[in-house]
Amino acid sequence: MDASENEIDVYLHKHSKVLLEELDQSLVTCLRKPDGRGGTRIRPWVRIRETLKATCVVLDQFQELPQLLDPHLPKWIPYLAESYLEYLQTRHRQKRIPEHTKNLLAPLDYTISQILYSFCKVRGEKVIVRFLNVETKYLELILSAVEEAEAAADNVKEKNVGEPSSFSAVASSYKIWSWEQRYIALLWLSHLLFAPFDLSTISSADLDEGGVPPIAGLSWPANVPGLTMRVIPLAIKYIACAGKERDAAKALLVRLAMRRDMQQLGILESLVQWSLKSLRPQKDNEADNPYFYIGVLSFLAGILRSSSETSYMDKYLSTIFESMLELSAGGDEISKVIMSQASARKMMLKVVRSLVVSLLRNARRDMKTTVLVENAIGYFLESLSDNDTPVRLSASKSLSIITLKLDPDMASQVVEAVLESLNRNVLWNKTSSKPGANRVRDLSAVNPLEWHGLMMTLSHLLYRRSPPASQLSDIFHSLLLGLTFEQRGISGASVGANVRDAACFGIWALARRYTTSELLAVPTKSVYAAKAHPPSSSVLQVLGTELVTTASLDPEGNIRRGASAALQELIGRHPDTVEHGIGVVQCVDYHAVARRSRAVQEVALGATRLSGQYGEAVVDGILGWRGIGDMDTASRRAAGAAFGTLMVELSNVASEKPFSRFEESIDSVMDRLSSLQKRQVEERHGLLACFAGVLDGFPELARKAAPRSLDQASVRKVLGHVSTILEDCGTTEYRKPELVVEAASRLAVSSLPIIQLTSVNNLFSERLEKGVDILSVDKLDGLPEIVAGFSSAQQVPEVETLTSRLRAVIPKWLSRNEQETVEHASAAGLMLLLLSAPQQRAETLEQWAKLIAAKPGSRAIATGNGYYHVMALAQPLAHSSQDDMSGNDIVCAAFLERWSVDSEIETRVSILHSLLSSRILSDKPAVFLDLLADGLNDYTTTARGDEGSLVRFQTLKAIAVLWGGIGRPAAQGDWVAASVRKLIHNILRLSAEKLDRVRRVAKDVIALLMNEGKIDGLKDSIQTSSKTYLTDHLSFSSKAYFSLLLDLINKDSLHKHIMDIVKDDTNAWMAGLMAGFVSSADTGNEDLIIESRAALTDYCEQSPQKLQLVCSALLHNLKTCQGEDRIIVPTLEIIAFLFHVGLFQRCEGVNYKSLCLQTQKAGYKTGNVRKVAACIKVYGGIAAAGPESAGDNVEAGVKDARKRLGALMAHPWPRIRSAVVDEIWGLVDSGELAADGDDGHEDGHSLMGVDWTSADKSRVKVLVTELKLE
Amino acid sequence: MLSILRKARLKDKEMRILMLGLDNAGKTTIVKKIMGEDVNTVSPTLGFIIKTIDYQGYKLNIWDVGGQKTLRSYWRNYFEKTDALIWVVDTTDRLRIDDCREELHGLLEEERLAGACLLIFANKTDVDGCMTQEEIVTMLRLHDIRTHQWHVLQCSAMTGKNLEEGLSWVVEDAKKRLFLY
Repeated sequence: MDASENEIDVYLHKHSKVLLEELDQSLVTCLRKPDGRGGTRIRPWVRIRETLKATCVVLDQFQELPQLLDPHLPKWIPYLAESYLEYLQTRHRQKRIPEHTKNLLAPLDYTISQILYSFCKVRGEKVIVRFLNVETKYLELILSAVEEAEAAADNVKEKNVGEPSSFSAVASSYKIWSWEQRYIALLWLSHLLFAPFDLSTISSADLDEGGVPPIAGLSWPANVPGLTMRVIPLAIKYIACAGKERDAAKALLVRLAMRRDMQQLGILESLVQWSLKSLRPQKDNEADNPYFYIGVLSFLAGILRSSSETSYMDKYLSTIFESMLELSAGGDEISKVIMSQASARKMMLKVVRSLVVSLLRNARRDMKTTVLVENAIGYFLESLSDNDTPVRLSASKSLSIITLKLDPDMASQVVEAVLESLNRNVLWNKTSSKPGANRVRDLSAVNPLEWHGLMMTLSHLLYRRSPPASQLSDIFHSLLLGLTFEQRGISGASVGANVRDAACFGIWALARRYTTSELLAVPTKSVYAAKAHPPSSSVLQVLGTELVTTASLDPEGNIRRGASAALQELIGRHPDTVEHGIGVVQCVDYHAVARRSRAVQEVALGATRLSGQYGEAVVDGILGWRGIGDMDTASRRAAGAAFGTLMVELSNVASEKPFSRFEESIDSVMDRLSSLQKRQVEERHGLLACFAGVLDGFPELARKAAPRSLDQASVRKVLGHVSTILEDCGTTEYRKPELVVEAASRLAVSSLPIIQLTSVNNLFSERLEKGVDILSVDKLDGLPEIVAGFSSAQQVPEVETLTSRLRAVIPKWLSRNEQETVEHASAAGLMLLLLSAPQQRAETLEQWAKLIAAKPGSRAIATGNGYYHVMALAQPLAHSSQDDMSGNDIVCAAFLERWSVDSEIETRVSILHSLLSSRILSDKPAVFLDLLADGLNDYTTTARGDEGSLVRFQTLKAIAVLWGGIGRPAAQGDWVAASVRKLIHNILRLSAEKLDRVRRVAKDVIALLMNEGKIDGLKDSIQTSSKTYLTDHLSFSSKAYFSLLLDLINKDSLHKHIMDIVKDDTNAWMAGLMAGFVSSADTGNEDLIIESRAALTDYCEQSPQKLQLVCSALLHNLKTCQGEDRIIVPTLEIIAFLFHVGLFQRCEGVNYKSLCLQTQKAGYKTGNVRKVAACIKVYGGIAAAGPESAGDNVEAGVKDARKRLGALMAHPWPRIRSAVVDEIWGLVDSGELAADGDDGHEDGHSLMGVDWTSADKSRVKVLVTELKLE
Repeated sequence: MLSILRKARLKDKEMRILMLGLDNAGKTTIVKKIMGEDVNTVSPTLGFIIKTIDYQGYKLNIWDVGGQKTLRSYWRNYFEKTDALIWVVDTTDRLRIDDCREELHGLLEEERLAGACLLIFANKTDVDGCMTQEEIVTMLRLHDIRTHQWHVLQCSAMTGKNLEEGLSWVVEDAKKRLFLY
C-alpha cells in the first residue's frame, strides 16, 4: 500500500562501478588460468558455486538497469564465446575428474552457458546474440555438441526406463546438458545461420536418403542439404519443450526457414504446412503436450514477424488467419488444449497481429483484406477481456499498433469501439435523496478485466497520438472514470488498481501528446464524468483536480505516484491552465505521496491551502470508497482526521458564518450515516472517524473565528447527533463490534470541547482543546480541576442525555480487549467519570474497582481490558474522592488485590499494560514494587510454552516507565533505592536470559541505569558513551553485550546513586546475573550459546578475582535454587563447561566437597535425564581436577566425585550408564585413574569391548571395584 | 506497466532533460531558440515548462525549471527519471558565480540524480567581457566533480551559437550510455 522509499535503481547507480569491476575480474579469473607461457588457457573444470556467485548473482542485480552493462558487452561476450569454443574443441582430450570433487566442479561449457543465460535474461537475447562468434566453421562444432548431448540423454533414458530413482546420480554427471546449455547452443546456432553461403556448401557430409528422419506432418522437399536435415529435427524436438530452450529452438527454426536458399528449396513452404497441419486435429492420436502447440504458434508468429516487410508469406496469410479463428472457436480437442494456455492465446494474438501488419503493408486494399482486418480487430477487442494479464496487454498493444497503420477513418472507428465498450454497463445512480444531487456512476456491473484491457488500449493509443482531437471529449470521460475505478471482489478485496494505473498512464500520455489548444477546445460540459465539477472550470483544471484527489487518496502507492507524474506533465506542458499549478506540483511530490497517511493528511492539506477546489474534491473523495469505504482500518482513521483538518481549512473564517462549513460537514456525515446498511461496518467506522475528525478540528476553527462562536442551538444539535449515535451503539449489534466501539468512543471523546461550550462562557472559546488533549496522560494530574470545569455542564439537558447514554453503553465498551479499541474506550470511560455528578462518580468507581479486584468465576467472563485502563487513568480521581491517609486508594488496592488472586497470564499482562500507560506508576511507585518483583519472576509454562515470558516482558516495560527519569538527580527519593534493591537482581537475570524478546527490553532497562561515561577499549567509537553504545549499537545477542553485562559492576558505568546501592553486594549481583546467563549459555539457540560462552570465558580469564566471582556465584545458585530445574540444570552444565575449558579448576577457594554434595542433592532421585547427565559431567570435572591442585579439600572432593560416578554406574537407565562410562574413559585417558591404579595399561581395556548399556550388574560391579570407584 | 513504458522509451529514444540554473541565466531563452520561437518576448519563468524537441531521431523532453527553491519535486517521477542535466550559467554575472557553484554542487550530491550526465551551457557569450571557458571551469570547480560526466560549452541563446552542439553532446553521451543497442 505504501510505496517503498528506498529505490533499487539509485543504489545500483551508486555501486555499479565497483560491481562492474568485480564482475570483470571474476569473469577472467574464474574461467581461465595462466598457462605459464604468459598467456592463459581455459579451466576445463570450474568451481561452480564460487563462479556463479561472482557472476550470475551480480548480473541479476542489473535487471532494472541493463544498459549499464552495455559498454562492457563487446569485451565480455566474445571472451565468453571464445572460451566456450576453445573448450568444445579440446573437450575430448580432457581428463576425468576425481569422484569426490564432482559436486564442487562443473565443466566449463556448463558454466559459460549459465553466465550467458544470465546475460540474456538481464540484457535481452537479441542484444547478447550479436556478440557471439559468427564464423561458419563453428556451425558444425556446436551442432555436433548438441547432438552428442542429445544422444547421451537418450542413452540414459533408455537405460533408466525401469528405474527412475537413479535420476539424480545421472544428472550430476554433466554428460547430459542442462536447459541453459541447450538454450545457449540453439541460440548460437540460429545466429550462425546468418552465414551467407548456401548451406549445401557448408554441410560436411550429406546424409543418405534413407537417413531422413521422419517427422509427423512434415514432407521433405528434394535435395535438402545434410545440415538442414540435422537442424530441423533438433529444433522441432526442442520446440515442444516446456523450458526456455523453446524460444531458442523457435528462433533457430525461423532463421532457417527464412534463409533464401531454404526458401528456394521449399523448406519454408513445408514448415508452414507442417505447422498448420499440426494445429489441426488428427484422428489417430491424442492431443500432444501443450508446449508443442505454443512452440508451433510462436514459430508462426516469428515467421510472420520477420517477413512482415516482404511478400514471402502473402500466400499463406488467409489460411493462417482462418486456422487461428478456428482455434479460438475451441471446437475440437486440440483447440481446447491450446485455448486453455494463456501463453498460447498470447502467441495467437501475436500471429494475428503480424499477419495484419503484413496485410496493411501494401496500400491497395481489396474487399477481402478489409474483411480480414475487421475480423482481426474484432478478435483483439474480444481478447481485451481475457482472464490473463499478459494476453490483455498483448491484445491492447496489438490494437494500438494496428490502429496506427489503419487509415484515419478506420482508426477513429477503432477508438470509438473502445470508448463504446467502456460505456457499456456503466450505470448512473442517484445516491442522495436530495433533489438536484449529482448522479454517481456505478461500475459494479462492468468487467474489471475488460476495463483494464480497454484502458490500456486507450492509453497506448494516446501514447502514440492515434485518436484525432475530435474524439478527446469521450476520451476524457473514460479516463476520468478509469482514474477512480474500483470494484469489490467476492471476498471484499478491492480490484481495479490496474485500471487506475492504466488511466494515469493515459492521462500522462494525453498531456504529453496533445497541444494546449486541442485540449482546451473540449468543453467541460461535454464530459459527462466531470459533472461533479463546476462547469466554469476547463477540462484541464478538472483533470488536475482529479489527479490531486487520486494522488492524495488512492490506496496504491504506485498509483499515487503515477498521478503525481501525470500532474507534472499536465502542468508543465500546459502552463497557466491549472490553478496554482506550480504550487500543486511541488506539493504533490513523488516522495510526499509515497506514504499513504502522509498523502491524505499533508498533501491534501497543502493542495487545499493553494486552492479550495482541490480540498472540495478531496473531501468528496474521502466520503467515497477511497476514504470511509476503504478496507484498511488505519487508512480510514487517517482519512477521518484529514476530513477534519480539511474542514477547518475550507471554512471561510472571515465570513459572516464561520461555522457554516462545520455544520455542513456534520450534516453530510449524518446524512450518509442514516443511509448506511447495517452490514456496512467499515463505512460506519469511517464516517464516525470523519465526525470525530470534524469535532477535533473545532477548537482550531473556533480560535480562528474568535470572537464569534458557535451558537447554542447548533451546539445542542451536534450533541444531539452524538447522543443518537451512542444510543444506536447501545441498541444495535454490529459485525466487527470493536470497530464501531473504537470509532464511537473516539467520537464521544472528541465531543468534549462542544460540551465545554454549553457551560463555559463564550469568551473561553479560544482556549478550547481537542478532546483527546483534555484527557491526555500528561494532564491527568489536573483531573480534579478538569472535573470542576465540567460541573456546570452536567446540568444541561443535552449533556445529561449524552451522559446517560454513554453510561448505558460503557460496560459493553470497556469489556473489549483489542488494543486500539481499549485505548479509546477507556478514554470514553474517563469522560463518563468527568461528566458524572460526584456522588455517582464515586459509585461508578467503586463498582469498577470491585469488578477488577475480583477474579471472575469462569474464564468465559473475563474482565475486559478496558476496565484496567480506565481505572489506571482515573486513579487521581479516586485519590481526590477519598480521605484515606494510608496512601492506598481504591484503585491501587483493587489492582493489588486482583494480582494476588489471579495468576492468569492475560490478566497480569493487561494489568501491567494499563499501569504503564498511565501515570499511576510514577505517582505511586512504592505501592507496586512487590507486584513488579513478582512479575519478573513469572515463569509460568503451559502447553503453549513459556507464557510467563509475556508477563516478564510487560513488567520490564513497566519498570522502564518507572525508571524513566532515574538518571536525573531529582529522582533520588526513597523509592528509588527500594526499587533498585528489590528489582535489580531479577532484571540482571532477565537481561541475560535466553529469550530474545525479554532480553531486548531488559537491555533497555539496564541502559536507563547507566551513566554517560565513556567506554575504554573501543577505539573508533570514542565519542559515544557506553550507554549509547549499548542502546544503539549492541545487539542483544552479541558477545560484546554479554561482556558488557558481566563487567557492569566492575566499571563505574552506572549512575552514582545506583552504584552506591548495589556495590556492596557484588556476589548477589553476580548470582542474579548468572541465574539468567546460564540459560543463554546452555539452552539458548546455537549462536547465542557461542556468543555468551565466549564472553564468559573471556571474562573469567581476565583475572582470578573475576573467575572467583563467577564460580562462587554459580555455587551460590546451586545451593539456593535447589528444586528449580530451570536454573539448576544449566548451572550444572555451565560448571561442567568451565571444568571442561580448564577454568573452574584454577579457581581457588572452592569447596569441592560441598560442590559434590550440592550436585548429589540436585541429582537425587530425579527423573530428569538431562539433569543427571549434567551431574555426571560435573562429577567428571571434579574427579579430573585431581593432582595439580593438591589439598585436602580437593582430594576429598575428587574422592567423593569418583564415588558418585561409581554409584551412578549402577543406575537403572542405560543412557546414564553410558554417560558415566564416557566420563570414566576421560579419566582413564588422562591418566587420572592410572596414577592410582597398580598398572596403568590395563584400565583402559576393561572399559572397552563391553556394551555398558546392556551389561549386567556383576560386570558393573567388577569394573567399579577394579577402577576403585567405590 | 513500468516495464512496458521503459521499453517504449528505449524504442522511441526518449530522454528527459532537466534544465537548471540560477534565475536570469537564460534557460527559457535557450529552449525557445532551439524550438525556433521568438526569443525577444521572454519573461521570467514562474514555474516550469516541458517542451519536446526532436533531434537526430531522439525525442528530448526538456524540463525548463524556473529558479526555484524546491527543485526536489522534479528530479524524478513515477514514469521517468532524469537522464541528463543542463546547467545554464550567466557568464556576465560574476557577482553570483559563487552562488551558482554552491547550487550546482549541492544539486550533484543528490543521489537520485546519479546516472545523469551534466552539460554546462556558458550562456551570453555574445556579450563583451563575459567569462572565458577556463574561468568558468575554475570558478565552478568543475574538476572536483567525480560523480557525473560533464562538459562545458560556450553558447549564446540570442545568436544560437553552440546550442545545437550542446544537444548533440547530450545525445551522443546518451547513445553511449542509454541507447547503445
